[in-house]
Amino acid sequence: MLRYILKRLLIAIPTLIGITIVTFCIIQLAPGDPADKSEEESVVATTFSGQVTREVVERTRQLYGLDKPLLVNTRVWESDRDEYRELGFFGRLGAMFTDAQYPIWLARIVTWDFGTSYQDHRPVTGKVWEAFRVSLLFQVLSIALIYLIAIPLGVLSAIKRGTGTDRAISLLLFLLYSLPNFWVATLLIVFLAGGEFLDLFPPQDLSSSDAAAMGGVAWLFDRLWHMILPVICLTYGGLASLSRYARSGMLEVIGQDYILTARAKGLSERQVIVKHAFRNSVLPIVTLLATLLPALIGGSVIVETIFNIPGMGRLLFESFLARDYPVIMAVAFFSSGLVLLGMILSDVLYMLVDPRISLE
Amino acid sequence: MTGIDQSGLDQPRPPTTWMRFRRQRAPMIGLVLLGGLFVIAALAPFLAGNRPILFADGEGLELPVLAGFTQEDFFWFAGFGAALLAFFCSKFLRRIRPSLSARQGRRVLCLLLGIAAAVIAAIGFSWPERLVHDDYTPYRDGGREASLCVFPPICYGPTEVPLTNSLDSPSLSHLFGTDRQGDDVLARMIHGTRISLLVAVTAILVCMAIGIALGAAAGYFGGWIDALVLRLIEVVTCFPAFFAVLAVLAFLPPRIFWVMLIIGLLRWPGVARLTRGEFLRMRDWDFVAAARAMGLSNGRIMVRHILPNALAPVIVSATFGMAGAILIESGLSFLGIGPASCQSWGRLLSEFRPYFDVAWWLSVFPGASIFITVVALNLVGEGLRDALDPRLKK
Amino acid sequence: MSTESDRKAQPLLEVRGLKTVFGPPEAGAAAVDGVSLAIGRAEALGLVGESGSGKSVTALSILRLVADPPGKIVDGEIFFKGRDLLRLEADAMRAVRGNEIALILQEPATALNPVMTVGSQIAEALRLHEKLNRRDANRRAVEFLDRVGIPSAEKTARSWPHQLSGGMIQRAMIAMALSCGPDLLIADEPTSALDVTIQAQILDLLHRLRREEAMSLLLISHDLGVVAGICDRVAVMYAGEIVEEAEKDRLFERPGHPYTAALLRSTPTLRGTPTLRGTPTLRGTPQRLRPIPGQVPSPSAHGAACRFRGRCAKAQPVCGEDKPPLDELDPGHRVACFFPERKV
Repeated sequence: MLRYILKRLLIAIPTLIGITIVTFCIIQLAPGDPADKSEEESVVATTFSGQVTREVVERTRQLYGLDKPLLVNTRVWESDRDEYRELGFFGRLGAMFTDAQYPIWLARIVTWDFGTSYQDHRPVTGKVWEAFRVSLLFQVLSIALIYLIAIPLGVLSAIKRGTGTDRAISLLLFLLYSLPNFWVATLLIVFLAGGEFLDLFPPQDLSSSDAAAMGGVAWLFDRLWHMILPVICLTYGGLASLSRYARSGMLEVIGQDYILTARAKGLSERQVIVKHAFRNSVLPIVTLLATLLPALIGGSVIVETIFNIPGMGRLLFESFLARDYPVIMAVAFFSSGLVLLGMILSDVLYMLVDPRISLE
Repeated sequence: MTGIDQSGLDQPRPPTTWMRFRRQRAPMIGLVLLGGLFVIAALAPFLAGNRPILFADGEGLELPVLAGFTQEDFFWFAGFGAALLAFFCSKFLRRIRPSLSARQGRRVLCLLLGIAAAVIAAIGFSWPERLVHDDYTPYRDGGREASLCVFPPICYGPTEVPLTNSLDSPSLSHLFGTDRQGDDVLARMIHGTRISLLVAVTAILVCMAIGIALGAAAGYFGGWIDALVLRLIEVVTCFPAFFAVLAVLAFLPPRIFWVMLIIGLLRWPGVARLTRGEFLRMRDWDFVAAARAMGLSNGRIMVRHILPNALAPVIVSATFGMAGAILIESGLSFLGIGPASCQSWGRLLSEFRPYFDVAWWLSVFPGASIFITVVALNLVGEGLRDALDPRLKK
Repeated sequence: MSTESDRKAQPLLEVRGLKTVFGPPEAGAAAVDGVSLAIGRAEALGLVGESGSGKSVTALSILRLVADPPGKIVDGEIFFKGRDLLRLEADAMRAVRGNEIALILQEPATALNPVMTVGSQIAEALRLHEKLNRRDANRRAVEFLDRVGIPSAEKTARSWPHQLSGGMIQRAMIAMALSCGPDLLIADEPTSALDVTIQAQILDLLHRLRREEAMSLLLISHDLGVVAGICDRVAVMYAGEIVEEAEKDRLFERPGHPYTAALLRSTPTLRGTPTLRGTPTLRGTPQRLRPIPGQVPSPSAHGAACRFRGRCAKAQPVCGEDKPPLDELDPGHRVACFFPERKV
């Protein structure tokens, strides 16, 4: 099993490199020399919040070495370059490969150096980590809820196929699946969190403003109370789609020959469902974790922004508004890495659960 | 020997995909909804505007709504006309010339559509940038009278000189209420249909173009091309939707074109995977071997032979992809990303956001339109999937 | 071999007028339409017919395993050891399944649960019906695997289904079926998905075990050759009805129903191969293969008349008006035809 995990990690490396390449390409879109571009094209002119200045542009350039060549720096060999004068032959050879944009970027990623934020000059790594911890809580909770609710719901729907229960559930899931999450969040806030209607939940933040004064249990409850609406928004979409997969997977399993064999052995319907059908239908759902994760992380931008939760999604959005490139790139890279990790995790889980999977 | 029963040999024709689709009630409703949305988008000035459709004031009949057409209005209207043309031609071509085979009929149709497209493009791109100064609102508001003045059903434009009834709740005169500026919400929603549909279609076209091309190459040729495309797919899938979009848009000027492009670029892996699967499956089939034995080139085999068979799941995926594209685009607009001039539904919600807690209709209706559109697309997608699926599961 | 009188005395299984329909009852698409048959103790009955003739549905109906919806047993009686299975309570029926009547299926690749070991699936039946504890059940499972001729039974018991070949899985299925000592084994096309050589092995196995356990066998197949090997009696099904039933040798040498005769004519045998140049013929003159023209009528086209008339060379007007009853042509030989064949 350890071998499988190692192998899987190995396969993931090219993908990881691919991610670095893509993020690198995105950086290339950054404004290089504002003087070159026309007024209309220049980001400086049309930025959202108008805070980006030439200073920002200059700093970006320095941070990413945007004036250097992309991949291989052949300028080291030019005799009139001051910066390379002191390097010997081997020094120049080394610099040829390391003093280009991509290698510089790669080296910095590997050492977790994402620069400092333009906004508050704090190291980006720290900011991202803080935000990640908050998001992580919500993601884990969401995933747990999704699986806990979706699987029984899907199985129930499959067993009662064609009945009113099944149709009602299917309809509900279909509608949930189609709801835009920002609309749901908005409606929840408008109708349930203050305003003209009910006032059951707090409309934003992680804790109430006087949370620090509360005792341990009260503080915990306050936290949970604040989390309810955002978690609902994060969960319902994945819940809908996973339930439908659980249902169709279960239906497919029930139609299989080995279920007939089990019934022919004289097992009760409950034994057939639980011992034989269920175990087989759960298998493909495990792999869905890999697709669930990017959706959840992506959805967090809106939910966190609306509910004012200091997670990675909101961090990204704020950095976007402020054109805080180091943070943006760090978050993009980090979240992709997370998704990759999730994919690996789901593959490993699948291997553990399905005896048919061997080392390929 | 009495007559041998030959009835078994004359089996009724198996139902085509369209027939199977038509039998399902919910997906047909979805299709009708989508058709309705297209009509709304195309005929927006006729449905919601402050220029009368018909006007006569002693000097003969006028069509002020046409006089106020922008280039955008023209293209949508002409597109609608072309769609109608295609529809009626396909129905009546058979009647007029029964001798035409299906293939010839299709060719004629394509030719007609091509001509129509060329004419529309010629007129549309040279559409003058006219500034209309005539104001018909007095006829509506009761200041002046004319012998004939037929306003659109929603007699308000999306943007007007500020009216006095700001933040009105829904009433008979303003079915969905008004916003802060006093503009009719329904009118703004009707005009917002255009950009929402446009984004969805464009994003999907981009997505399909890339996805089909790469997926087909990967599935058909295999080897290192396949490995490369698979890696690429994996890399792109790793980027969560909004994160990638925000990251890229941070560096780009906020034009709607980039938004459409990015959304398309995000979704192509799904299409590519499907296409790859189909091509992998079919490249070992006999008809491909036969085509090769005839000396056809790879490209021709892929496009003319395999692709038509592989399109089925791709079309299903495209439908769902459109739903997703609308969700992403409206989400982005809601957050305020994207040009302010593009009045999509998400944008409306973003603009209305500060007033949500005092004016509930500002949050409910624009969001509902997104919801209904997505529902319609999902219904159609599911209907297509069930119609194309040989194993009837229900 | 059981005689006619033996069978009449104490049939183990007696099906009377079984009718199973699919879809809405008004549509009347009966896959099994008034089937009656009987199997004595330690007797092997072969049930032969084309695809769509209703043989598999008959087997499932006996065990009440027809998926409801869309299928439903609407008429008939199934007497097994004196009790009508169709009137049993669900619990009592489950006690019969696997325990007194066992079933093996056609497709080995999908017949076993892929996420459970082979041995545990056999043990499951033992624990359910024989009330053994886990250890004893596992041990007995291994014993049965050994009995069906699986080489390393111990290892196989711990293997997963996907690690075994088709023939091995069928043997394991047989082991599972036998494990609780059933009186009747229903085998639904057990060899159709196997290679010819493995087919022979499985059939030999079935034959041997049947003898050893004095077990009855209902062998369903579309292949006359398979049935000819190990069955005592053969029943022929067409379009949901039994059209002929006789002792095996009788059926093959003097088929009464035109359909049976046509089937035999359309099957190549060593005695008369089609005339291909260079093909050796063993005895007798080479005969041409004669396929049966036409197609099996769809269930909606069934009428209250002979269903084979559309393809029968001897059809007369009366065949289209009344349904020929399953009458005794000779003792022990029943045919449902107004004009049965009287000679080869």
